Amino acid sequence: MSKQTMSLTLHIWRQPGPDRPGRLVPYKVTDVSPDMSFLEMLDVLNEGIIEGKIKDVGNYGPVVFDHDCREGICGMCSMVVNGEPHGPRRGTTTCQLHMRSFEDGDEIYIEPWRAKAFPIVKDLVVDRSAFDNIIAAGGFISVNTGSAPDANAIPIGKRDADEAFDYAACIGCGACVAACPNASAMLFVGAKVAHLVKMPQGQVERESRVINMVSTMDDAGFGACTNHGECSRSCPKEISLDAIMLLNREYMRATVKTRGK
Amino acid sequence: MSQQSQTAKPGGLGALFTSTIGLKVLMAVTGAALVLFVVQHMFANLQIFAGREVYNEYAHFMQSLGKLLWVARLGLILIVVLHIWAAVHVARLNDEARQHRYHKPRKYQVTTPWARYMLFSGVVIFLFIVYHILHFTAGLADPAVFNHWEVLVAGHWMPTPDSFDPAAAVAAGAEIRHDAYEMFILGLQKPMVGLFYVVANIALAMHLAHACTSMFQTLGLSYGKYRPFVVLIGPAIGALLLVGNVLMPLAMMTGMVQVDTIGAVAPVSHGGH
Repeated sequence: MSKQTMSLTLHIWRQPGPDRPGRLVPYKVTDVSPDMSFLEMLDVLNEGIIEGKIKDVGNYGPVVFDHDCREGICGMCSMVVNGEPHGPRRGTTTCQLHMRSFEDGDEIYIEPWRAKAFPIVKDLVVDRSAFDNIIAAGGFISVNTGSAPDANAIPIGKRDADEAFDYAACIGCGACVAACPNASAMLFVGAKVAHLVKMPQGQVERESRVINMVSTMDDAGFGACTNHGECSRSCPKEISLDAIMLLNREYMRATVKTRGK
Repeated sequence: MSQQSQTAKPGGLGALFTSTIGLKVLMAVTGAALVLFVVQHMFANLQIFAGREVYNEYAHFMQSLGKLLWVARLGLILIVVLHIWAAVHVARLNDEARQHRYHKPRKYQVTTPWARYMLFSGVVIFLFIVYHILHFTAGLADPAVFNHWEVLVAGHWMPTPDSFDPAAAVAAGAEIRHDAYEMFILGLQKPMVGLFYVVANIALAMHLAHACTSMFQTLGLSYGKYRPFVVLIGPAIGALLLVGNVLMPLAMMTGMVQVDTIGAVAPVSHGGH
């Protein structure tokens, strides 16, 4: 990077509230360091808007966006950057995306996740309660509370442990839904179901879990998977499409096992 | 926690028609049956290159199945109806779920044109199926091409001229059978008809290039080490059907295959057999 700082034109989705009309608003941001994260760049923008240094077309005020850990593990920073959830780098959340991934003078389009099941709260913030409801419907295991169990009391094979861990890496950010042409949540639900079904602790609610989670997913208004693979490609944790395959398999097994009950 | 964790909503066959995954499974299972049908249909039709005798013998055998043929036909129609019903249902659900679109269009990374235009190729295939049945099964789309017959002369099936009257021949005690060979070749020699067959079969190949792989994924059969193999199944079956099914109309349209009328007999009504 020869230049010390970058100048960018941002086109950001501004929407004052859930039922208000929104539009893309252009902003000029200068003095952007290539070492900044994408969210730090947005912090610079908001600072400029507050201090009146950056022209605030339409007087929307600072851009509202979700963020929390800023280290790629919480799943809050949801935004579609230039048509790609979490931006152009694979396996990377927006907060871990750095401005060196862009060129000086770039135009960058920033939009919220778009899906019927993820209604926009304001600007780039969407309501992801639908994911919480899916987890509440079955994304848990039953354990006895009290003193902590012995660490190695339940032996788990290396392979199962590794696979369960890969699926457990899902941070529930919703990029899969944002990326899917059908706004389907099956990679998310698949990751949760696959994670727990690989563990002995997950066997107790094995059937009810998948049926209840899928039912809650359907009720929330997510679409159905048509096997495009965009979800897995956009996933910051690179969850494999095997998750959806396992979800389908578990769902079929559960419907057969619970029939007539 | 509680009750929710203990009781699952009713599963069983009902879920096949109501849940998103159930609809996918229904589409995959009916699709699998239809793939098996179109593959065998293609190989059966390729017998056209083996000549009149082989082809008409096969067509005659199929017709001789009688009730069994009708069971197969009605079964196929039921499967097609279920397949389309599930597809339309899922497409509507998906359209509803993705009602908010991006202003800067999504940059698709890994999906394919055939995956994105499944509904479109499906509609083309459906229109083709309707025409194809009217064309070569019911004989209503082009009766002049459909009405060709062979007559049994001294133990040999002989082609007949266009002026042949099947009803009169049967009344005169002759044994006749449908000349599917001539129907097939003459039907597809017509440029517009042949072109429609070519276009429809390109749509079918595209449809299956995505569908056959998708089917394994939906039915939970593309696990881990098998995935690299499974992703090739769709394109392989699509390519196979493309070559086989497009070859036939092209061969007729270009005159590569022509009706072989050697041994044609005079019309039976004029004192033939």
